[in-house]
Amino acid sequence: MDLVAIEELSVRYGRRLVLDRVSLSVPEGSVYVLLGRNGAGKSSLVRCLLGEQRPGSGRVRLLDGDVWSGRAALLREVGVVPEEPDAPPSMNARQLARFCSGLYPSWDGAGFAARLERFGVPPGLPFGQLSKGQKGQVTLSLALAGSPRLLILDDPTLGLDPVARRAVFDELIVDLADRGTTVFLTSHDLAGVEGIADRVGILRGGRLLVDEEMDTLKQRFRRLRLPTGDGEGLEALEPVSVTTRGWGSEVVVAGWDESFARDDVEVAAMTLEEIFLSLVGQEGAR
Amino acid sequence: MKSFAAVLRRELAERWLLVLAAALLSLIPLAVPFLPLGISQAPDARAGTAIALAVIVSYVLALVLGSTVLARDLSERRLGFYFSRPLPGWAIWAGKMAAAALLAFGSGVLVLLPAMLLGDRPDPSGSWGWGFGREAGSGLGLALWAMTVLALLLAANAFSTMVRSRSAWLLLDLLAGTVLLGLVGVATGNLLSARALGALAMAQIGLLLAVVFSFAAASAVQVTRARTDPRRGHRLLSLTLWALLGLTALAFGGYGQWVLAVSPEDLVEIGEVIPAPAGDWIAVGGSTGASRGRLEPTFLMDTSSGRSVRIGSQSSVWGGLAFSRDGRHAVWTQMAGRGVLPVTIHRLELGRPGAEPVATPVGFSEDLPHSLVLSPDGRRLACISGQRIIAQELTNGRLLLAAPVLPGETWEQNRLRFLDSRTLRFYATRLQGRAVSEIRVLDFDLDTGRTSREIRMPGRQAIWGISADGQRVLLVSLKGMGPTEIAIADLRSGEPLAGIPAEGAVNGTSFLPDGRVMLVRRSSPARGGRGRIELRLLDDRGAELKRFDLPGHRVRLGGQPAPGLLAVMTTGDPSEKTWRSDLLDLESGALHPIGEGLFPEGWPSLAPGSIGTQLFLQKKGGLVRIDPSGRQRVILHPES
Amino acid sequence: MLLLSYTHVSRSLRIDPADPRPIWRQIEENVRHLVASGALAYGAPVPSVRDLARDLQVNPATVSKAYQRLTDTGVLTVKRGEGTYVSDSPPDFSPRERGKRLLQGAVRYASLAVTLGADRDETRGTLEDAWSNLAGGAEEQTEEEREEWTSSPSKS
Repeated sequence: MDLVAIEELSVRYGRRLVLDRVSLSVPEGSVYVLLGRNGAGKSSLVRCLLGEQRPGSGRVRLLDGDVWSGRAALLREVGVVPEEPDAPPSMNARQLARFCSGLYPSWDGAGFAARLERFGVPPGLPFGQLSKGQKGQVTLSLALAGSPRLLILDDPTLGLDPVARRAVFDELIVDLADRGTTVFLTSHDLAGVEGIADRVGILRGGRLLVDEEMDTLKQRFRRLRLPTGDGEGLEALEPVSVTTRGWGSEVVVAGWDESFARDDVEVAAMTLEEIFLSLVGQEGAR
Repeated sequence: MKSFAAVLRRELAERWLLVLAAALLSLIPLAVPFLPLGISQAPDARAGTAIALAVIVSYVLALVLGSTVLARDLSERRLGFYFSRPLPGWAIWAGKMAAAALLAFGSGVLVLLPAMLLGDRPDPSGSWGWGFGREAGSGLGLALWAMTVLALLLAANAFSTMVRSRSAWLLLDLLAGTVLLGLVGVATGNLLSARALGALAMAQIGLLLAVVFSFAAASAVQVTRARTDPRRGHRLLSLTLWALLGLTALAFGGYGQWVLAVSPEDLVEIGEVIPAPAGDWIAVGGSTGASRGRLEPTFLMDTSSGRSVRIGSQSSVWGGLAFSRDGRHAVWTQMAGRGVLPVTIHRLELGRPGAEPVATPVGFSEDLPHSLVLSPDGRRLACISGQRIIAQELTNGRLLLAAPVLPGETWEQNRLRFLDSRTLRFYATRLQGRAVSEIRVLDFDLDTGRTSREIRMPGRQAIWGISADGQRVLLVSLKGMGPTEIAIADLRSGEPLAGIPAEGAVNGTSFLPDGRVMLVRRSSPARGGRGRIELRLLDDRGAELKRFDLPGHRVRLGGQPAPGLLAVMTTGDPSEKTWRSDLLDLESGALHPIGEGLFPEGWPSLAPGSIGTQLFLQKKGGLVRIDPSGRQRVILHPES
Repeated sequence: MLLLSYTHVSRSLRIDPADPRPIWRQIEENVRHLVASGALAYGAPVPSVRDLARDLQVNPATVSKAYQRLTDTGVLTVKRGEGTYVSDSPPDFSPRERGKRLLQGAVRYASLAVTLGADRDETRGTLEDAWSNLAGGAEEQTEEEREEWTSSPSKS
């Protein structure tokens, strides 16, 4: 079953089209990573997904229910880590846990305490006095303690230092291993998500450029280095970008085919980050 | 409910310091009697300080919490804490609002508590009393206070949301707010100037409730439908708010219009009826029901066609309404502003179908005019205003006469009458102390503005009746408990024509239109009995023509619906609850019953067959016209 | 010692994001390589799916998929309730299957040699070189990395 099913979702702010007929789905047990630069529409999509925002058109279903009308009931089985770690500044982790424990049917208080301890977050310190990393860790711990079927994380590592980032992903992976939680994740941290993503979506200017299995995505992208003037047969490989250098040209292709291999062409595989940059980075520096 | 409780608890917990602060503040009133303040020695200084402090604390908190509790969270995108959790939108809204309301009102109550526990009560007559009024200690006061806190809270929330969203909708908000305030202002003004104070009070309570509801509903819609989107939130808030407030303003305006658009049919009680001397028009006043604002409107009404024109809303109009003798013109006073004064004289041509009331150039700003009379041609108005007799041309406002009423009166009964369109006659009864009394009649020539004639009649007597032509008066001697003496005086000669021995107390006397005199006596009751009513008909010189005995012990005389038949209403019921009405044949003395409890609206000096003589008020409140054939037609049928 | 063994395996199994192969295949092939090279002894425990996923920062499902394939082909054995181990004996292909696979590889290599114009001796020699490189190279690498790891204070 798809825990997230988005069909033809469009969102408009005034005349600006923020999401343009986006469709994607996240089957149970999988990890979906949605990538995109700031303003690509990620947060709007997440807000629609959480039932905080009404889609301009299209359908958004969460755990097989209509999220706009059934938000509160559906969210009982959804853990959410918002973009900005938000909780009332005066509440400490213990109080937050007490508040949340009544809201989720299967609250795992022991797990929450254990996680905080692993993170090294003092449970009695008010949320407002925690470091940014600690805030994120508390938010994640809260989200996981509800024993969710689905985790929705909106850029959970934004602004975190590498150690904190690592700790967040560690915790996520452990939960994936233990409970097989389905994850919908938006991120800037391409290195961090490279390993855990089953499926990748790339948003640019409100359109979903890519929505496919991580493996096939990486299979079809290659960076080629060709001598000048030797572009024969390149069209079939769906070139994404061509950079002319002194020695020839560098071409990123999205439809790599092994049969194209030639002596004078240097073929390099690409990381998710490189693929993302080649697709999204061409709009120029932000 | 669980979600609501969770949000409420959390919101309260976050601001528990406020409660502490309120508890500390509550100690201030206790200290007031020991402080060197001017007010501190007053008996209710403690209660007064407590109330003032409590009200201020609650209002300030309502404003502060109202503008932050939701609006700031929304604009700073902190509502996600709730919205990313399984909490329904309504619970988030209601929890936050309830927490803010509880904190604002609760802090106020807390501030009040110690003083109240010590038995302090505000004393309306005490030093602080002026500030609070009677409601201060009552449940109504408490309800009003809570309501105001709620209104402030919700309004602060709405305005804060609008301002914080920084969207172009703010312009719409300003525009809509201005338009609606204007609408309500105009509607209020209309009700005020129509003296519909009952309606206004009701409408304003309704308005307050509707405004609170609108603000609450708009905010709830915003939170449950726009959720964490501040711009959409502002849009939904504004749309809902202005739609609801617009409906409220329309309802308010509509209610005002509806209240003011009363017709005589809306009267639940007929107060008074003034018939025109001729024709079918009457002036009728009364009151509308509670649902219609308890107005006291007055109408000019054509009893034959049913057409009516509203001419005012105050009983003060009774001193200020006059028909011309031919019944073709009517003038009346109408308030020109918000207050009772100034008034403008309005007129209506009754004889012209479809004519509308028009304001005349004549107005009074210092004293209400009374005793209005209209010249036979309907062009000149005379009245008494302040201590002056004023006569003015209605068409252009030209002042024809401004003569002082007689100086030095301690008691007076003044009447005016146009003898013709040029001559105004002023009848004054002067009493001064016990000894001096005189009756004076002055004629003014309005073309020259001079007094053309002056008649003085000394003696302790008063004018009880004036003949139809204005030339003869019925004088009643005022000698305390002794036998009443009645005299008929001719003003052309200034001499008494005849003295009428009355043999006991006279209950009333009146000229009939033809010059004869009607006299009512109630004979002294025999032991255990109730006395009798005796009606005497005298000729124009006082000689007795007829004498009738009427049943019962009390009588009310009407006019003559048909010449020679006088309407009389009598009762023999000791409790005076049941009355019978008859037509008295002035020739034969025969009584022709017309019904039970029909109260004649006319009086004996009216021209026979004129509208006033044929109008009767039914016991259950209806106004009927009885024509000479005895046929009854309902003119107005109030449903009380 | 056990921890060392684990981390050693994890390091050796390092995922290269630029590697075009799917991560599960990288893991699978690296494990095969480690087993083949003797870095992972027969019968030795391998990290649990959960630990390896955390160390590699990859989705446990991916590790699981690799382990599943390794178990299916007999490289790893799951002992119920205990964990996953390197199988006690090399993958047990049937003689026929084994012959077929070897032949397939040989044909591929031979055709490459023919294409490149290598003669029979060169081809045989290169095969010999590759054989010895495979074993020795792997050993060198592990040695190198072990040192790198033990000197790194970032985790212990």
